[in-house]
Amino acid sequence: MVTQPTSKKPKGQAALGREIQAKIGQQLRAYYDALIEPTPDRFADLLRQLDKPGTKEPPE
Amino acid sequence: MSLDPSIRDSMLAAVPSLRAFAISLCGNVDRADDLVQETLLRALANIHSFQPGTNMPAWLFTILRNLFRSEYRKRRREVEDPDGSYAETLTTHPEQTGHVEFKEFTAALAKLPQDQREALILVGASGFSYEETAEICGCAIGTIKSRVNRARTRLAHLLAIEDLNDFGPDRTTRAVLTGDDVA
Repeated sequence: MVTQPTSKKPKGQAALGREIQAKIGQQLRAYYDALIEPTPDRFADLLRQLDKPGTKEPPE
Repeated sequence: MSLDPSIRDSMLAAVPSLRAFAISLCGNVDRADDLVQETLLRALANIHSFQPGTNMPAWLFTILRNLFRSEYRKRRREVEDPDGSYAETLTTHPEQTGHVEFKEFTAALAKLPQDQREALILVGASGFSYEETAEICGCAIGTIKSRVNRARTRLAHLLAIEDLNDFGPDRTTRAVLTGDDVA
C-alpha cells in the first residue's frame, strides 16, 4: 500500500508532505553543519582578553 | 571588566552556531566574523541586561540579527551572495549529501527572501523554537510559522522535489530516515 503523507490544509500554502519536509530539513542541517565546522579561535581569544582588566594585547 | 566564567562559557558555546547564522546572512565569512565579533562586544557591553539562566544563544542571535539589519540598511548596494556562491565553495561530506544536490540546495536557499530564509534557518538548523525565533526576529509566532512554511514550499518548488524518487536516498533509506513504512 502506498500512503501519501499529504497534510490536509484547507487553503493557502500548498501542503508539503512529511517526506519532503524531512528532506528539506536534512539538507538544511547539512548546509548549516558545513558552515559551522571551521570556527576560528579568535572569539575565544577575544573573550579571554576582554576578561582581563586593563589588558589590550593578545595573551602571551 | 570581569566576566562570570559561566557566562563566558555560554557565550563561547554559542559562537559556532552564531557564526554559521552570520555566514548564512552575509554570504561572506570575513564579514560574518566581524559581525560575530561586534555581537560579542555589544553583548559584553550590555551584559548587565542579560539575566543569568536565560537563553544566551537567543540573546546573542538577537543582537547579531539587529546589527546585521542596521548594517544591511547602510550597505544596501552591496549584493549578499545572490547565487549562494560562498556556500558553493564549502566542502561537504559525501555520506551526508551529494555534492550536486548540496549546490542546488544552497543556490535555492539563496533565492528565498531574507525574512523567510532566516526564519527557516533559525527553526530548521539553529535549533530554536518558533517562540524563540519570533523573539529573535521581533515578530509574532504566527508570522514565523508562515515564513517557515512559505520558505519550505518555495524550496520544494525550486528544487522540484515533487517526486522523491528523483531526489536523494533510495526509497528504503528514506523510509529509515523519515520513519515511514516501506510500502
